[in-house]
Amino acid sequence: MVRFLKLSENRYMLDVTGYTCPYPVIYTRKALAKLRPGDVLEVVTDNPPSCENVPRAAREDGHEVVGVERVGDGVWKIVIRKRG
Amino acid sequence: MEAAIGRRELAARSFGGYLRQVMLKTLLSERGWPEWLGGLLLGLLNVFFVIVALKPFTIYTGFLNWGQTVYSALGLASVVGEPRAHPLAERTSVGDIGLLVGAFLAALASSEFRLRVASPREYAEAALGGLLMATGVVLAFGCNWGGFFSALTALSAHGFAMFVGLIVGGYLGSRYVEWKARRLLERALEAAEEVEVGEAPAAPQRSAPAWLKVVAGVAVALAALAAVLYVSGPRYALMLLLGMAVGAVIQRSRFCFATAFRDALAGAEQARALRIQLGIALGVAVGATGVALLKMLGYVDPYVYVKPASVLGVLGGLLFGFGMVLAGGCPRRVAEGNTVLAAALATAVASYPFLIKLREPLLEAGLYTPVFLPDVLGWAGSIALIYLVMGVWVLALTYIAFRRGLAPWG
Repeated sequence: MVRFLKLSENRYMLDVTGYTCPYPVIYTRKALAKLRPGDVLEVVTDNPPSCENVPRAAREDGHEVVGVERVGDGVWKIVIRKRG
Repeated sequence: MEAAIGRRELAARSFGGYLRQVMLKTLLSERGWPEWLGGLLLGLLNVFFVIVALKPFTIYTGFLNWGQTVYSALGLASVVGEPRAHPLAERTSVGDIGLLVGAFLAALASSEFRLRVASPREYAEAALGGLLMATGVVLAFGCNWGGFFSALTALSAHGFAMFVGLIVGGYLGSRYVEWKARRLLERALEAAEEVEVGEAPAAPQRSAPAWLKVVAGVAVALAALAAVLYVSGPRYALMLLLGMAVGAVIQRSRFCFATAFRDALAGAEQARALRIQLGIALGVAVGATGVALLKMLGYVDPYVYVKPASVLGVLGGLLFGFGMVLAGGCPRRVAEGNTVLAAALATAVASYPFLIKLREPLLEAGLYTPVFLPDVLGWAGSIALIYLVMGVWVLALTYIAFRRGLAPWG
């Protein structure tokens, strides 16, 4: 099940572990669309191709990719700041 | 994440350490290898496999062997038939085992192996996907390898039928994916409203210690190699090694046929689909050229892997393509620790020995004819046709990308 959590006033987490392509990219795009400019979204994925595809898609849409961090074997946290 | 290797990151004193860091940053980085390189290597490996095994690299005959082996052990040999050979002495099966071992090693080496679990719905979809894939293989005489990639490199017309089917099935798959994503995310966003501000994030993820990865990788590789050497000798061991190379290349270049066909015409990862399609086209071109030479020179029987072709192959490709999207990718991802794809693999292996029985009446009804392209077009004409079809396909996709303002190589 995809999880979307509000971590603080302008920080959100989208947990898409267990989902393969293209769900991480689709969910990230849809979640970013719901946020306000300046909000930060942390995407957690365990799908290897997504650690590259998700930041690429976010950049293509004009958002700022703050960082991509491998948080464990085969799990990545991608931090994106929404741009207006 | 960028390709550039920072000066600070490469501060190794010794050349050995420097070399190791360069390798980690290129061969084993999370960026993966470029898809065109993956396709090129797969095309070459396909030729090498023909040289060693005297047949192209394919998948499902191995699954048939596995299914028959298990059913025979359960006393069901009278229903599904005895396996033709021991799984370690059957060429396709050995290649399959190699593919899984190779993908496992590549995943371990790049710290991407992880036991992945998902919600029950995903397992149900994967199981259904496996069933559709096996059905498609029956109709198309092969999967994305045997029915398409290796079919075209063997200059057998059944590859074209499945190619068309894969494009249609993949497109339908992308429509399903969009629909499902919309529904699931809406539910997740509704649920998010109820979560308290300051909810704890997911528990930190752990990594396995390096020594454990080395031990696991070496143990699995040596066990597979020793078993094949013992049961069937060095020629089969070479097939295992080639299968391992195929698995490693696919894992490292993220060479996903499911993504390639799902998002070829439209979808969330259209740019990447185009890059993989270019890889596929290069691989088919290189493979077809190499295998044609082997056939022309008489190294292998020209009619090796010329399978019955039919418009029903289009339907097979469609079912296979849609099933592949439903399953969430290719079953080799089991080797990355993906339990959802294990469900797809299990249903494919379990159902294929039964489904393949449908082939006999189809063949008897005269619905299929094997077509060896050089018999119709000559050697040069066949190769030219394959280059032309793959070239036009990639050009058409590039045009769509241009119209949509995508930057596949940007």
